[in-house]
Amino acid sequence: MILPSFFADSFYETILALELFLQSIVNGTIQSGFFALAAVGLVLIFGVMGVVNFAHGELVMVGAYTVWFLHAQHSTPFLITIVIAILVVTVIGILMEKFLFRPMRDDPLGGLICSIGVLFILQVLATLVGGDGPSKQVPPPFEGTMVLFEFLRIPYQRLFSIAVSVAALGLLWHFLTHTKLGWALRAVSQDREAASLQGINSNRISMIAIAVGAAMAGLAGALMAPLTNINPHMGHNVIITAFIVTIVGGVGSLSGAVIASVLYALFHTFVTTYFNGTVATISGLLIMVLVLIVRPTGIMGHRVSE
Amino acid sequence: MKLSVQDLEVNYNNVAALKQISLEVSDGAFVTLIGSNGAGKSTTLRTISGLVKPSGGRICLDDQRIDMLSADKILRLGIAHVPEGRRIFKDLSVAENLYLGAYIHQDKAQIDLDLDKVYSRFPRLEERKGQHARTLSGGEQQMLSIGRSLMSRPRILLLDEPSLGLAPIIVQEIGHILREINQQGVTVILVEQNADLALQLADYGYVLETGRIAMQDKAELLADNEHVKKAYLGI
Amino acid sequence: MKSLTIIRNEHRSLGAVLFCLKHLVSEINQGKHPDFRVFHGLLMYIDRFLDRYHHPKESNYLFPAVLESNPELAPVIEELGRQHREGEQLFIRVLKALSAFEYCGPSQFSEFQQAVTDYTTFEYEHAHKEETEVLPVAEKSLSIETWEKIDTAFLNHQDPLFGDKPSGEFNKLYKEIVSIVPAPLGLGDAWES
Repeated sequence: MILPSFFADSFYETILALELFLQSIVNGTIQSGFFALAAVGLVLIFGVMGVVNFAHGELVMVGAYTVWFLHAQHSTPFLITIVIAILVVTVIGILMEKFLFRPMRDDPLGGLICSIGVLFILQVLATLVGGDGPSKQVPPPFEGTMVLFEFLRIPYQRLFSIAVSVAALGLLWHFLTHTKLGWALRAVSQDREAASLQGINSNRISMIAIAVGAAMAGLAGALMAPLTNINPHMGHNVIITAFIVTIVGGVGSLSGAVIASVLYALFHTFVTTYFNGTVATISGLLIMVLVLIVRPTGIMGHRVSE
Repeated sequence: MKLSVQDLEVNYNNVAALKQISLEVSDGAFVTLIGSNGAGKSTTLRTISGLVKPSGGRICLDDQRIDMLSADKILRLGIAHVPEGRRIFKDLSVAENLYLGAYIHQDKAQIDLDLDKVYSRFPRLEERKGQHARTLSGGEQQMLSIGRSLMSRPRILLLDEPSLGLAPIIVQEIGHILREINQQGVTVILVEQNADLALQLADYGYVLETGRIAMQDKAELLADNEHVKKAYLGI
Repeated sequence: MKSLTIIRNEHRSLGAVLFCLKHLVSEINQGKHPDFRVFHGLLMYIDRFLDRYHHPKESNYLFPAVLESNPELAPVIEELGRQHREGEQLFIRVLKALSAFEYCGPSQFSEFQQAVTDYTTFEYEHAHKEETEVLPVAEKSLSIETWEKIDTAFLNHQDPLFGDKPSGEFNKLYKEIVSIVPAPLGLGDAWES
């Protein structure tokens, strides 16, 4: 199309702005997958066991390290390493439940402190396995980029990660809404005593909750591995994001956590694109504080009654 | 199935909540525990169902000692507890609440039959089966709580203040339902502050005062007792 | 002495239904829109229950036995019998007032309210009289054999509508009423303002 020059300039500027906007939406949506997996695990553990797992970011880190160690260092096929990462982190979670959280059931603060202990232990182990040097990289097993409408770029690795995230979240949703065990999990998080009166063993359910939560975290780490810098402190950002998302979404609400993940990821991506990452994180935290003041139960949360 | 409570003692924070509580509940009986607030009625029930561990005494089901067992194990032995305040799972649907009542059973066909029986007993629950339990009125929630416990196929049913906060015709209906359940062979232990309702329904009653059994007798005799009439029947 | 318990239980069931009637009327007073089906259900229950089931048991079996063992209670028994009939008249007044209210509108509400108040107060006092002046005496003075006869008669009492399982049928009716009476009085949907 032939346009007068000044029209042409502003027209193309608008198109470029639009492209940036749409690309940010795509990036943000993909990013939300990781946040959602991590946050959902945290909410599950808190809901069923009443304990805040401070080591949750480190569980994600272990997932990433497992993929790095087995795939990047020892050439195990990527998909297999994902499965192994999930298993490794799940086992760690189960051990945490059995030896830390269960004995500390009547002392949630004690459980919290113990989880901080695990946080440090896992960081040290990661340093032992990977050394102290610069961050590790895992070359993406899925190469290439899909290009839509001649400008939207979606690397296949990212497409893979969002597809797997959605599938995992879908499976979790099905589990919690359509199976007796899923209902039992929700029942224990709502009213532990009433659940035990129906024959539900809360120790067993706690173990299942942490196993599922840890598996989600391990999966998040495994999916993130080819897309991010792997180092012993990468869990730091994960836990902050997971907290923000959990609180904004409503403590105890899984659907809230997912919705908040999408919203926060979009927000974070946009602010990072148009400003920078630090501004994004700080404003994210400010939003969390705002939510706590204005609507403490979050988007989907209900008043917790005892 | 005989339940025997012998010299039960329960302490909360070094305060004695129950002192030397002894009850005998024979198979198919309808027994009630009445008394004012804080007398220990709820605590007695919660100790039987395993939510509270006693500091002394014993509870025996037939010849098996059960006072050290956890609540979920005691349910599997056939003792179901409808707790005070309904305590239904508010974020789950009516049907899901009822299915969870049958958590300990695996035979799907029988569970579905049990569900049909509960629905015919409580038609309102069937109408609302897909709705979140939180949307139910107080009376409906109480019906749901009772229905949920019935799904476990109990031999002994414990109920803690089922009439609390409910209007008269609902209270009467609960009475009808409990009578029906008892006539079908389920032993009922009813804790009630509404002594009138309790003594109307039960065969035998225990009066609790400050953690002890002050009186026990056949229900109709208790209803005639001067002290009971003045203190608990408002006559 | 099962029959004594049965009579007391039936008084309570009835009392609950009358309570319902009174409070539903006050809900309309507060501006709620009535569902007339509920009133029809309640009144039908009261009518069948009292007329076919409860009063016949008292008049045919209990009162004659009490009269025989305690002739000094004759005036009381006679008064109670008369009250059974007066209650019927008051009940018919409620039915008429309900129809007028249902088909002629809110202008007829205050007559309906008055009819209900008069009727419920009357029935409460009647039941109270029975429970304080007759039943305690009957409990003490009737012999075990007499009670056994009355118990058997009560259990075998046939109902013209429900046949030989009346209590089961009345329980079903009661259940239906509980289902349609609006919350919080019953389990039905609450009435809107």
